[in-house]
Amino acid sequence: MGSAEKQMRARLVTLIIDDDELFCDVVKEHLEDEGIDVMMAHRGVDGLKLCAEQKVDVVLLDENLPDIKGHALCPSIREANERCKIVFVTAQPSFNVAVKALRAGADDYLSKPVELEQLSVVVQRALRTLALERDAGVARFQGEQESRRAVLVGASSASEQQKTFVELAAQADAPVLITGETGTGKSVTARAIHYRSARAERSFLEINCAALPEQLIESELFGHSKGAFTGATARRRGLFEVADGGTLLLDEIGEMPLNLQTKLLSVLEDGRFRRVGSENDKTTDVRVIAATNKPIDSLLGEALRSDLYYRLSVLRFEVLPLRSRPEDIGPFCAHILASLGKDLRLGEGELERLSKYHWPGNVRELRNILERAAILQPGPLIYPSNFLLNLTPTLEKSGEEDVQQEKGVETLREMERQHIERALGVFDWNYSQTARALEIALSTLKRKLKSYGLVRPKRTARAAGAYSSGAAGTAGRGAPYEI
Amino acid sequence: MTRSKPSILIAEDNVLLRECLRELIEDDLGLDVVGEAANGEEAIALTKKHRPDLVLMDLELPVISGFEATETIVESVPESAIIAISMHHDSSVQRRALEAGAAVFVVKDGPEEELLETIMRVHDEASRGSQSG
Repeated sequence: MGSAEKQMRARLVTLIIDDDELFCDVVKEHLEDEGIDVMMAHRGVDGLKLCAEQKVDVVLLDENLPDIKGHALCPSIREANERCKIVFVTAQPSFNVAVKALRAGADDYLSKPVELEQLSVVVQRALRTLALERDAGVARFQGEQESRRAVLVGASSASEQQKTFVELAAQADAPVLITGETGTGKSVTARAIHYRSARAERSFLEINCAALPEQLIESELFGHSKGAFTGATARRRGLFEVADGGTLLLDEIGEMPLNLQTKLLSVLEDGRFRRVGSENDKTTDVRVIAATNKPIDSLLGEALRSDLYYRLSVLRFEVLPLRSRPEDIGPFCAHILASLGKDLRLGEGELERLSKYHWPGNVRELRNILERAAILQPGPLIYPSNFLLNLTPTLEKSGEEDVQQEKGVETLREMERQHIERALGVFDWNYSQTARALEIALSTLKRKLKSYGLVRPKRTARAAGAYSSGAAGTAGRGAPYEI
Repeated sequence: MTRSKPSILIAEDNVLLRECLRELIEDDLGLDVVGEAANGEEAIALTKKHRPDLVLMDLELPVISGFEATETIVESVPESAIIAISMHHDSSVQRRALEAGAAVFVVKDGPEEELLETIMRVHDEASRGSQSG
């Protein structure tokens, strides 16, 4: 046991409020033997004063005090010290009296004559409950931290529209469908809706429908009963049960098997569902937010049932790609750099350079290169665009090209070259993934690389490691992402 | 024809409430209290062992909650009818208890007579069900 823990244990305090002085002495001696500090009061008013002025963890409260009934004192004790645990002690126990005391705010109950062993059990249980509540407090704090991450960033009119939508959606309780390219912040939008809604105190859960094998999604969403299938050795609650009262984000909804879409529709209609392998209906109250990075038109009627789409899209919002709202890049940079916990700022001209970039990986890609710069550059001024430029060997420009660029016009060939370079950067120069993303054949990509004289840039071992993990985070499906 | 004495298991983590319930059920109803469980795990084990006619199940139990224990007992010992009890009046608690498979839900701070009447009613209904089945 560490010294801090010993100190914590030594500071556990029980207050006995009882006019029976002999009883108080016996209990005091017993609890002090267990390392618990004990205070005593023989009248209700004195006990209440101690509760208000001293640290008290557990109160042993006699029902028959000379100046007041124990259960009548209970609310005042609660008011004076809301976190202490109250144990009622009475010589006339009955079920209704016991329940009445517990209802008045007592946490536990003991009948006289008190067995010291039983007393220890009750006091230790009360102390354990206090410790659990402290843990719950920590969990709540972590939840608050989580809600702070659901911050909407941006200064563009598109961002303003997003904020307005989130506020409206938070006040409603209907399903929501969020569309947008990968990395635009669909998950953050969903979180923002949840944490501004009346459900904010309950769970926000998220599942990527593309990240799980088809046979596991149903059990993950709806749970299963014991023996429902091979490997189902115990009963398990699904996300729809766990998230009861909260919000569930179904990302990449178009990847959900069609038969499950029918089941999902049923939950959306009346909140009823069945665990896999169970014959009993269950009900749940979960708000569903669905998201997809695919154009709805390409999903509708094939990967996404039309009836489900109409049910999900009561409220629909498209998060625009970063390239169409370059004025948001500055606020995003400030927000991301602040979240990194270092005193970092963009170097001169950086914002302008970043604003001209195409950002195929959107905000996720922006975060990626900022984190990379924060690791690899000394700061406090950082130059994240170097990581974009490193992938783009500077070409000698002709005078005519300079004139064209000054007028903001680039040749199609130059645009294609830059676009391919950027895509290669996003996929860490993985030719197959880049070709797939560009929707061209691998052989076509290689021919164009040769034509443009593009070669994979050399990297230091340290830079290569950081670059590699960053690129995986950019391209990987379901990669962790927070704005 | 003589009816055998109905058996009941009490699952309640508060020792005083448990004792009060035993006294109430034995003295006022004359039922056979076959066991007392202080947590959900014990409730499941004792129900499987004694297979009582009734289980009085507190929903706020440690180790395994009364909800979970109810679900398990309904699956593994379906002949034991479960009476769920709780300090909570919320309809959601009542709903969850019934969904878990409890025959009935009773709040703890109602009149003692109401609890006793409910216990006997559930027993009678369960007996009729098993006789007709």
